[in-house]
Order: sequence, then C-alpha cells, then structure tokens
Amino acid sequence: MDVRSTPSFAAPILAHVWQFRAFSAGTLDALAANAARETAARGAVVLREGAAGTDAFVVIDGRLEVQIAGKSGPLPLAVLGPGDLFGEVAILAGVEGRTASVVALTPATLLRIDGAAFAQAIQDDPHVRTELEAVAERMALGRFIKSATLLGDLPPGALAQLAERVRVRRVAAGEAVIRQGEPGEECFLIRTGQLDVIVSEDGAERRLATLHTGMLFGEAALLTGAPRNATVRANAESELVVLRRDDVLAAMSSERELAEHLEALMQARSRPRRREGVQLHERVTSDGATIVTLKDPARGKYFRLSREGAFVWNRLDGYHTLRDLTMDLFLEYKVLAPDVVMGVIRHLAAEDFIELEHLDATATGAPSRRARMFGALRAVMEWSYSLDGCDAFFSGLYEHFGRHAYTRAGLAATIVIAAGGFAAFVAMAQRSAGTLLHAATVARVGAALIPLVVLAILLHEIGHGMAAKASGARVDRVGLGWFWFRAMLFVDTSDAWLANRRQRMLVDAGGILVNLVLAGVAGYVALLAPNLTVAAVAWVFALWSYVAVLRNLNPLLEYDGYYLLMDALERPNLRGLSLGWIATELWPALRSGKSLRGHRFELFYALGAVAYIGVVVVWALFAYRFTAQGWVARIVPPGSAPAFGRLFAFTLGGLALFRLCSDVWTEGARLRARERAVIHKG
Amino acid sequence: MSRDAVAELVDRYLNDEAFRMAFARDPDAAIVAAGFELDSEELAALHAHVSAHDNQALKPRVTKYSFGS
Repeated sequence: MDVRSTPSFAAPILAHVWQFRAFSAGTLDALAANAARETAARGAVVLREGAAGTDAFVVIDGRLEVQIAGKSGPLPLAVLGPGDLFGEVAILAGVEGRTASVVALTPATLLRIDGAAFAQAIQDDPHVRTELEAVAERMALGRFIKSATLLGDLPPGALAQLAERVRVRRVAAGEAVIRQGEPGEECFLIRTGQLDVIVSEDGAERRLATLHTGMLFGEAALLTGAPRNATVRANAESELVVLRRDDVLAAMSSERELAEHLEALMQARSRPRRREGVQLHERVTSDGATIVTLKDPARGKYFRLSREGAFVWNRLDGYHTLRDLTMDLFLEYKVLAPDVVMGVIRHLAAEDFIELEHLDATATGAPSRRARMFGALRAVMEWSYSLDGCDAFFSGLYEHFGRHAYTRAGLAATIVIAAGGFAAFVAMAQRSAGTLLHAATVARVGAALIPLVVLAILLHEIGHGMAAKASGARVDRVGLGWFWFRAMLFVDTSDAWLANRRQRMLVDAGGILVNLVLAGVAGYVALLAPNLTVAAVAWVFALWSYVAVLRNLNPLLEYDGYYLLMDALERPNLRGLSLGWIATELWPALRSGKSLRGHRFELFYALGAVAYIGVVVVWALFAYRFTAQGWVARIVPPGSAPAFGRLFAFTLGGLALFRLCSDVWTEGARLRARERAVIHKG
Repeated sequence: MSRDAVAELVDRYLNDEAFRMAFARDPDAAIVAAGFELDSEELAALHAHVSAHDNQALKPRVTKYSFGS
C-alpha cells in the first residue's frame, strides 16, 4: 500500500460523504488535517477481519468488496465505490478488532482518516454519531443475514437492499410473535433468543418445535396467503429481524435457489395428508422382500415405496408432522433418517399423491431457457393422442380369444409355430432371394407387404394388451402419435407395475411373441405356397418380423427390450436413473478420481447408448449404399451420390445424439431436484 | 438412547436450511459441527441402510411400436 502526505484536497472529498453531511466546516477541516491519501492494488486487503485498527476510510476511486469469513471461504457482503465510508464500525463500537475484511477489486485510491480524530469528531456531534450507528446496524444486520441464515446466498446488492428494508423487533419471554389463524404478511429471522412453535388442536396446545438463532419462521402464510398455521411464542427474550412479503419476493427473484429453500422449509414444517382414492398394493418378491406400490386410479399414476416410505405413507393423515414421522420411524425401525422422510414427502407431493403446501408459481420463477427449449422440442417430437377406457375391450378380447394363448397348450403351440416357422424361413431363403431378383416381383411384394406390416403392428400392440390381461393388469389407454419422426401405436400397460416380475416380463414380451408367431406362420406359407410371388411375400414378411423383433429387443431405447431388461433386473426407471447418474455424478467422480466400481451398470448403459448412435450411422451408410444410392445417382450430379448418403447417415446420428443429450439433461435435472432434499445412504 | 437428543437433531434438520444442506453433504460432520452428541445406538440408526431410490414415481409403461421399425 502506498501512503503519501495529503494536501488540502481532503476537505472537499469528506464534504461529499453523505454520513458527514451534518458535520460543520470546522469538523471537516479537523478531519481533513488528519487524513492521508493512499492507494491499494487490485486484490490488496485494506482491512482484515479480526485485525486491530481504528482508522476509517473513504473511497476516492476504484471498487472494493466487504467480506466476512464463512465456513467455505469469504462471503461477500457489499461492494464499495467512490464516496463510500468504511472502517468506522470499530470506532463506533469502541472495539479494536475489525468486524469485516475489505479487499480491493480494482486498483483503488482511498482517504485514510485517523481513528482518534474521527472518534473526536463524532463525539462532538451526537447527531452524526446516531446516523453512523444506524448505518453500522444495517451492516451488522447484513452480516447476520449473510452468515447465519438461509438468505445468505443473496448477491451483495440484493443483500444490502434487504438489510436497508428490514426492521428489528425485540420480544419478551412468553410473548407471542404470530398467532395461529391470523393472516400473515411478514416473516421473521431469529437474531438472538429461542421461540416455540405451538399448534392448538381441540382446545389443547401441542409444541411442534423449538426455533433458534438463524432460523426463519412465518414464511408459510406469507408465501401461500393462508392464515398462520401455528403460534410462535418466545420462550426467552429474543431479537427478530422482520421481513415483509414484498422484500422476500424481491429476494427470491434475485436468487433462484431461495425459492427452493423456502419451499423446502415450508414443507418440512407441514402436516401432509394422503390424497383421496389412492390405493396401496403390496406384494412379496421371491426373495421375501415386500414391495409397496401406490396407485392413483383417477390419474393412472404409480409410485413405489420402500419399507420406510410405506411406514411414512400410512401416517400421512394431516395430523402427523415430519418431526412426528421421523421420530416414529426411528422408534419403530431404529432408523434415523429425517432426509429420507423429507425426501419421500417432497417426492410424493411433486407427484400429487399428497396434499402439501407449494409456493405460488409466480414466486418460483420461470423455467430456464434450456428447459423451455427441451420441453418444446419434446412436445413436437413426441406427440401422441390416446383413447381412455379401453379395458373392457381388452377384457372381452382376452376372454374370447387371448386366454387360449396363455394356457400350457397355447404356449406350446406358440413355440412350435415360432420354431418350425423359423426353420422354414431359413430353408426358403435361397429360393425367395431368387424370386426377388425380378423387378416386377419386387414391386408386387412391396405392395402386398404394406397392409401386412400395419396389421402386424396392430397385433403386436394387442399382444401386449392380452399379456397384460393374462397378468391381471388393466389396459386403460391405447393411442397413436409420432416419436422422433416415426408414426407409432401404443398401449399403456402401466397397471403391470402392480404385477410380479414374471408377469411384467410376460407383458413386455407379449408383442414380440406375436411377431414371432406371425413370422413363423409366414415361414410355413413361404415353404408351402405353390405361387412363387405369394411365397416371396410371406418370406419377406417373415424377414421384416424377425428384424422388428431384434429392433424391439434393443434395451437402449424405450422399446420392449428396455422393459424386459428393467423388469429382469427389478430396477424401475432404469434409463432415467442411469442417464441421470451420467448427468450428475460421472464427471465429478472422474475429476475426483473416485472409483466407478459401484456404478458399472450406469456406465455400461451410457456407453451402450453412445455406441448405439455409432451403429445408427454405420447402418444408415450401409443401408443407403445397398438400397438407395443407385437410385439417387440417377438424379444427382455425377459422383455426389455417396455424399448424400453421408449426409443422411450423419443427420440420423445427429438426431439420435440430440435425443440422448436431451434425455441426459432432463433426467439430470430431475435427479438434481430430488437430490436437494434426499441423500443416499448405505 | 436419548429420545430428546434425537428429537433436537430432527428439529434442527427440519427448521434449519443450512444444517439440512450440511447434513446432505456429510451427516457426521454436520452433527459434530452443530454440537450434537449421539451415542453408538443413535449413530447406528443414522447409518442404517435406507435406499432413497426405492421411493420413486414409476413412469408410465407405454409399450410402443413405431412404423419405422
């Protein structure tokens, strides 16, 4: 730091410090006579928290940051610029140690005022002292909010603004700060003291919690508009920082995460209640574990619960608080898991299985641009239209036809047809290929194939529906739409979540079994049909069916193979959890050198998904070369047909990559939202 | 086992956002830093295996077949 003797230029600088506006000209001259100009390089620490010193400073030019020590590094409190005063708190409080650090953000020029002269000046002018004390109190409030409360992540500007607007309220022991049933426009931070949260029920009072320094209360009524849900009474003399609704909302708009913190706090203190009509289903797995699944028939939604989750669910009666639930779980199972209880509650609330207070959408802010972009893209690429109330149709179909396929004899017939038909298909390969060498036959085969393929897809979906009925599940919805440039049919077999593993795998395989039977029948036709064209049509249809089976068995897309793998492993939402892990944990694990041994499966799945994109590109290149390139070469400039093939292949690969990235991002965002309330033990 | 100590810890978890975040990062460190003293039985309860992933919304099972197959 460079210190030089000061000419008489100090007086006009001091006259522009607003805290000094009440000083007389004589007092300002006296201060100027004891002031010296100095400079500070970028990054220089002008004041160090805890260090001795009583001199005050005025910023002439440059920018400096006021900081206090936090657990994980310095916490910025405010940014100072020309005309700002700092360092006066030590003099006002009569202490030697600095209460904060001040660091130069840019090269700065300062006016250092001798501490003794400054103390003499404010002693001579009590009005200025009062004003400076008020400023010091605001700074102290800012420090408290920054270092000890959930508002601590606010940016310095918003924090300083908030500290300007709050007021301090002192309450005596026994005094009620808020009362149950009253409207609420303010919430409170506890600066010192201790208060009890009390709820009145049936004429009796029940203490829900005791609150200490740094904790916030009164936020629920303020953010939801509902009356106060409890009384808060001081059990010792306490000092509170009072925040008004508008100020809290302004702070929430400055700091996105604050809204999440406040919602979490509000929900942590709630008394959740189960929604009407939700059913609980239990089943025991082959290894003796009990799996509990909730079903909301009105919305067709399902939720799986652990043993502890089910314990919590059974107590969500609108009376038990999260504290009660956590303590009951602890006493019943010797599991101390407030995080898991809170995670279950928040997740059930997010899926609308329970009634719980939420922040108003305007308070939580608009979704990010990336979220809006992916949302809009998905809406365009994955559109569907569905018909509800189809279960009676599928039940009737199953009773009259489908059930025969799920008897021992039916399954034996399926195997015989599929296996024998495949043998016939292989045997007829050479003859069918010979027939297909004639262009006229190819055109006839192509025309005959289209209705057969449409019929096969329809029967494939009916096959899922029949398998679901055979497993005792409902089929409430069928539909059509498009899925990433492809038209699709679908059936909703979500009710199979209530079935056991074997039954669910049967539902997953129901469509593929239909394809195998159809391919088998086509193989026999190809073998036995006297007409060569009919035989060729049957053989090509069988070929298409086998390719369709293989494609459906791909577990890397959400087709039948994915569901089969998920159910075989008993890992619901396998794709979402794997891609979410890639988005949230892979990079931090690689960077910190953490072992990936416990996450082999997620890694394998992600590598498979990336490798699949490569397969798509290679397949497209080959398919184009052996089918379309010759045709394209006739209509494009000579030599450019291969380039069109590469364009086609890389466009397909790019779309597949984009979809994978979209899924990784979406699942990552979902998992992060969940992680904020839940940790994973064990 | 002291039920009061556990209740106090649960109170703190549910009402103090900063403690909750510290607990999510490292429960043991958060408990020590906050001045709670748990006995061996309570610590065992804290470390009891609970898989949060078992509590999850189940995505719709939509078995679809696209015409590009």
